[in-house]
Amino acid sequence: VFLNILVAIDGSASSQRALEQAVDLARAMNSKLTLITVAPPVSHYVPLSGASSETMRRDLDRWASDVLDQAVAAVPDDVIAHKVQPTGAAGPEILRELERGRYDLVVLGSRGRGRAQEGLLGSVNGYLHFHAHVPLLSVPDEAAP
Amino acid sequence: MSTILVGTDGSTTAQAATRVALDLARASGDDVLFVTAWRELQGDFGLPLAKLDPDLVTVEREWAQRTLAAAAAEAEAADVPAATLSRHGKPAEQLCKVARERQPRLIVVGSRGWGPVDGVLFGSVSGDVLRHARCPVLVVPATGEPDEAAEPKVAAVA
Repeated sequence: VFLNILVAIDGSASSQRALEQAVDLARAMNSKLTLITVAPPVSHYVPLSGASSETMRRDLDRWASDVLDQAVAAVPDDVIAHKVQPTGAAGPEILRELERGRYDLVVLGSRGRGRAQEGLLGSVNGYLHFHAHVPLLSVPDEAAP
Repeated sequence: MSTILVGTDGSTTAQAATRVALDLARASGDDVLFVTAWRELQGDFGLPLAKLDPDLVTVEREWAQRTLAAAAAEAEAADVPAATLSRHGKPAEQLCKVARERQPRLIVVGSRGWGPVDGVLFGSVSGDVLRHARCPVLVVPATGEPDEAAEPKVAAVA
């Protein structure tokens, strides 16, 4: 059913579980994975703090590529995994990639109940639930009730 | 082998969710549990219509039974082992409750059912399940023609 799966990665525990689920699906259905990590934009207030926007930009990009590389490394060899690393607001960027890449499923971690916002994808879940036209698989960071 | 829980209300999005769940179950060798929740119809301002006409309770309960029977038939046609469960109460609440009891591998729901379109913003079933379930949740969006084109629920009863 799902041949082309987009997995949102932000380094949180639930996004790790989301990746595991996606790998299981990919194995069962011979599907291709694309992992996406969105590097957040540099806040306009950064220069006010004395830090340079360029340094901040570099740090954020490095954070995103580290998280993404770690995730790709965790995918077993028998599953095809591509990576994409756009910059911007997570929800709209993931939506843009969904529309660009003809995906048939998007997998992402949920923040889980009563949990402080740990990853960057917490509200992205709600955003994609409302805007995305493909099935959405939301994975909490623990399976136990 | 584990279980995939499917929340259904017989709407076209629920049917889309059912098809996806059956495909997944076939690919992974899981079985499927169809759950539907029914409750007394409420009129405007929460008017308890069911108290005025007890038949309305029967109508709702029978609708649930018919929905489950249709889903079970679809599972049989797809050669996927399936069970059904009818619960009384709010759909999202009951789905999460059944999930806690049965520990499914996955919950599959349609993005919106018979509720109004703005339900996506204000407490839709799929949104509530997404927020409260402790297991993975797959939300399947509507495909093809909207529910309005399908046979309305009341007509099926008359």
